[in-house]
Amino acid sequence: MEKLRVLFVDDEEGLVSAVVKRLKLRNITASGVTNSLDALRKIEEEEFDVAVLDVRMPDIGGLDVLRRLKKQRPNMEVVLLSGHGSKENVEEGERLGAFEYLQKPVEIEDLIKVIHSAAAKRKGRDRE
Amino acid sequence: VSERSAEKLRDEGLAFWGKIVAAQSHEVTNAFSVINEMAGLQLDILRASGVEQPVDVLDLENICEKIRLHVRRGETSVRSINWIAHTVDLPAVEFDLKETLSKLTIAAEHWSRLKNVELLPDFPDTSARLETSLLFFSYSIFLCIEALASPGAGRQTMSLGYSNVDGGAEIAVTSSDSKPFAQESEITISSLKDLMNELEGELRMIPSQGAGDSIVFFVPAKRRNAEQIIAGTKED
Repeated sequence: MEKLRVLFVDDEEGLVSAVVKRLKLRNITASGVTNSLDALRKIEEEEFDVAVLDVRMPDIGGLDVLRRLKKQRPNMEVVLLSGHGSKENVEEGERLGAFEYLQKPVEIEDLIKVIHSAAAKRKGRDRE
Repeated sequence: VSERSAEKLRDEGLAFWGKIVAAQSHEVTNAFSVINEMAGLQLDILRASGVEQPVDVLDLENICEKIRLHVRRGETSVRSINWIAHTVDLPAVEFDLKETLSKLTIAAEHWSRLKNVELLPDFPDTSARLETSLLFFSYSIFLCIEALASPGAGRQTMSLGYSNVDGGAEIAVTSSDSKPFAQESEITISSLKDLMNELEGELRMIPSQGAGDSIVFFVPAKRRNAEQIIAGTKED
């Protein structure tokens, strides 16, 4: 079975390094970046099944990254992550095609469940 | 230049502090999230350990140190929120300038980081005492940061400093780079002028000729109209 490829994007360096290590321990190919520009660059260079994006980031926020990413890689699924998800942000995320909106702090097993569901949706679409 | 009423400025200032508190609450949530993941990672490492894969004690020590660091960070944010809640809407309060500017730097950290601005304290050895409206004083500093911020221009540093001058203190916010002064910044400067009226202070340096990197304002040691405002509040 092919390993899942996940990109984790958050401006909290400590969070990114811990989550990436924990995903790797669970047999997921995970990469992490701490700003939006690096995320867009990484997505252009590499193929990922799912991206997990923090909504509140300096300069380009997660919703803007989602907008650009969906143009760049329409098939990639995106999970949004936020400290305090406002109703407007959740609705905007849904409108832009986010798979799910999770609130921090999120348990790793819950995150992985959502990542697997998102990846399954992507695979289904790829087969169509 | 519009001269808004003190009441209107107070409402705007409190709304601005609302943004700062919201940003601080994100800071606390982020600290909790990192602690949560670090604790989980520790558990993962311990569970994966065995005879063939002994625990790397140094690795665990590093994780513990990071957890401690983020506990302190969360605690600092909570203290900052508490300080804001207790002091910000008093008409006048006597405070130590250096200590207050340090607290404002901490309070504004997350809000300014989202603007890609790193706020650095640049204080002299000597401090000073001011007796003024902390709401208008702090709102003035936030507006200086807002006026000098260059969204989308990458990381920007700003220093926050002061100097003791005759009759009060001069506060200076200086950006690491100059930017074309946008129309929004002109509006911000107009708000700053209104705030100076309320503080009985004055703007002593603003960016000119379409570019600039420093805003300096003077605040008197004691706000004389505070007693009238307190009396007015009591009448209400």
